[in-house]
Amino acid sequence: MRSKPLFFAAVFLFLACQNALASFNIETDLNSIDFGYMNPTATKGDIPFQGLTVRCTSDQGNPWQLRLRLETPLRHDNNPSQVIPNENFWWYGISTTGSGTLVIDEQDFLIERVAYNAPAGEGASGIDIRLQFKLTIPSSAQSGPYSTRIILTLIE
Amino acid sequence: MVFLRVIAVVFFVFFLNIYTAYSTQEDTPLTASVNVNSIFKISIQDSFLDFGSVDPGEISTKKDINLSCVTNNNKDWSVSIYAQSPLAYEEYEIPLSNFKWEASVLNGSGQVSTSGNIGLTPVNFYVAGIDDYITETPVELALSMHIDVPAGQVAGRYRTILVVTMHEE
Repeated sequence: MRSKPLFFAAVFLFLACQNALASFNIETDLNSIDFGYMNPTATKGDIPFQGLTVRCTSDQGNPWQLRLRLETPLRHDNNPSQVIPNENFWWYGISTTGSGTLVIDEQDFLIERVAYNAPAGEGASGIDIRLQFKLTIPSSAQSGPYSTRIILTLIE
Repeated sequence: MVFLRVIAVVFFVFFLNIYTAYSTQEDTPLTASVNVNSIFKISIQDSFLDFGSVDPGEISTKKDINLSCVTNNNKDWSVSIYAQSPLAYEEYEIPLSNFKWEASVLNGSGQVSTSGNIGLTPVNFYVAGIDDYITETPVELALSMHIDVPAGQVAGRYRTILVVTMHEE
């Protein structure tokens, strides 16, 4: 009778150890990107200048993807009803150290999109993906600071 | 019995691993920011207003100026006008009470004061409506002005400087 709890304990211990030893993470070289000061109707691209480097690591052996989405539209910090629409905000890939497929055409933030498709077995020692961003300010944008969060997702 | 239990555990681990593999996901947030510049300006079509030659006791022809106002500050604003001095020629003056204006809105949602005299202190002639707080297209105003030249006024070229101001509350 005592063997049953032992079996389950062993199973959970096995899984916990396996997950603890597994490497599956995403990190960026910057915590933020800033478009600085812009006039209404202005467009600014190639931000950040050196690109945002996203390092994806996975030793699971499965195909994986890097996806991007916006948590909210860019919102005015003092007047949240004022937003810069997601279709005015774009991202695009500029390089990768991996052998997968990187999206290099401009993509808006209307929906979550895949930026990089990695084949099975890639990424055990980390794959670097460099991205840049572009923004157009609408003619009717209120002056002042706007911010949001870009969510980068590593998913198998 | 033990064999079956081992098989069951192996399958359990196998399917749980498959489930774990398909649900593996990790997010990292990145803050994005921009600062939209303030645009707040008024422009005038002509910076020189010449009423021509007018006989004493007569009214000049009307002269129009068009004003264009742009802002993206999302605040109350208004437009005022005043003269820095009476219309003067040497030591002679034409009182500002004889310098008349009429205002009209060509494009805008605010309230306009239709007419008045130029004074030495600013007088609001346009108060922006809420749709003007961020002007996707400029607010266009027209000022039509004329001068009643008093009878017996000394001949000469009379001048003053008019100041039109757009100001936020």
